[in-house]
Amino acid sequence: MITPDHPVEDTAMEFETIFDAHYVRVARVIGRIVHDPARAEELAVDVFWKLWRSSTGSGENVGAWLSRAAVRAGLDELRKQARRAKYERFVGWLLEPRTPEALHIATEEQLRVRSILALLTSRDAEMLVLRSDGLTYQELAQALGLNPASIGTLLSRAQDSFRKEYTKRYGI
Amino acid sequence: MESKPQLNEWTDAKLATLTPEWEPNTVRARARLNSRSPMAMRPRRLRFAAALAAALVLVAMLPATRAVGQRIWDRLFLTGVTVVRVDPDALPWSLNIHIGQKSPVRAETARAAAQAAGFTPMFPQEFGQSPQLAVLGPITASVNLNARQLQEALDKAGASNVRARQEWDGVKLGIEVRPIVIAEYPGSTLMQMQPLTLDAPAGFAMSEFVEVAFRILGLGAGEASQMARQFAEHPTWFLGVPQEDAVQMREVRLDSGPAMLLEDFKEDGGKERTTLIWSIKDRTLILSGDMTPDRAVAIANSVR
Repeated sequence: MITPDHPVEDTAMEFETIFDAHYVRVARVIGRIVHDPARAEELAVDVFWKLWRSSTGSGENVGAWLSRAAVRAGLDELRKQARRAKYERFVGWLLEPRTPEALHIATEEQLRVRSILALLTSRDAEMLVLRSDGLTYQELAQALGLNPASIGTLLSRAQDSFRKEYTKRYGI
Repeated sequence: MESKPQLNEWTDAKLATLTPEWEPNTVRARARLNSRSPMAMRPRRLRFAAALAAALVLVAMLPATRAVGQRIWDRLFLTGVTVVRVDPDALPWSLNIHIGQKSPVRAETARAAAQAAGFTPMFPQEFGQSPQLAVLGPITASVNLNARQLQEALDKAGASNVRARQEWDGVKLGIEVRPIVIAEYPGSTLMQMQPLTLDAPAGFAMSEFVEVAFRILGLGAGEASQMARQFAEHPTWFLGVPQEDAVQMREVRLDSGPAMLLEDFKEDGGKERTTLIWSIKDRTLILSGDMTPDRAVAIANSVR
């Protein structure tokens, strides 16, 4: 964000403004995917840290960039967790400590939905999560770099894939 | 066939279950950002390392006579795995662990995995397809013994006629796990690692300590002594499986030698997972997944 014609002080203030405007939303997008609130907040901070260090510009694009970065951070974490679960018995002691917030058990339905998200293609999972967070078709297109005219079709396909995988694994 | 509105409604309802019920803490997040320390770099208190702790028990199984010459430390290479039905969480110590990276790092090719791990991985020919590869570690850890806690644990285990030596107080034991190569196939995972190394101070009364540790884990005097002798002859990595875990264990024969087969069961009695653990001269391999025991053996025999 810091550029020769963009003084550091201005950049810092601008970053503060962006943080105030978007942090809660970013953390909640990640919190949809990652069960542990403390971990979701850590990842949200990482997203803003990346923004600070990146050359991403300000303005309308920042919201889209943050949406994309948030959903990807959450899905990456979800897939890591899925991989780790496979060999937990043997290297389970490497897993992160469970925070008090994480100790309450996720509902079975949440576990199922997250397990299916981990299986879908990145684009399908990103679309479903961001759509469920309330993004419009236009915002989805901006966040994921897609043609707005194709969002309806792509979203239907993502929903269809989600439904098929869910039904295959868990029935109706 | 389902209509689009129905599909919409159904997926919306499923995904709505993920709506967070907590409010992000902006003040805490801002403090984290201001400290310019990404949380990935924050020191973490790691969970008690059951398998590792158990391995550290075995460092003490080295005969004291190995502590010779001018060496300050003894280093032991564990070239296999012994599975025992005990709960390592009963051991009265916690570990200081340092991990190269906290999650497995993807490797695009077998060569990349070999470079990252420091050895050439082997793969089952049975699958006929390339796996997704990742490398985990290296990991180093240490534990500081506390004589008072050891004695308390002995008393708690009902072995009050056994004494923990006072000179063990403050003794540091260490372990190094070199990088682990993880190969993921549909429905199963193969892990392989080189021998673990265990370090202990020269002159440490290891055999005696080992018996103490196994008494704490609930073994009788005879069994603890036998485990110590077995380890002295053939040092291995120890994997503890608590008695209450629904796991059936048995030894099977592979073309390369003996292997330990573990079958995990769900609460409803259904099969959850099959795991096969075996060692060859330079590495230990662990195959785990949803497969029959015969299939696991066939896959293991095809590893080249």
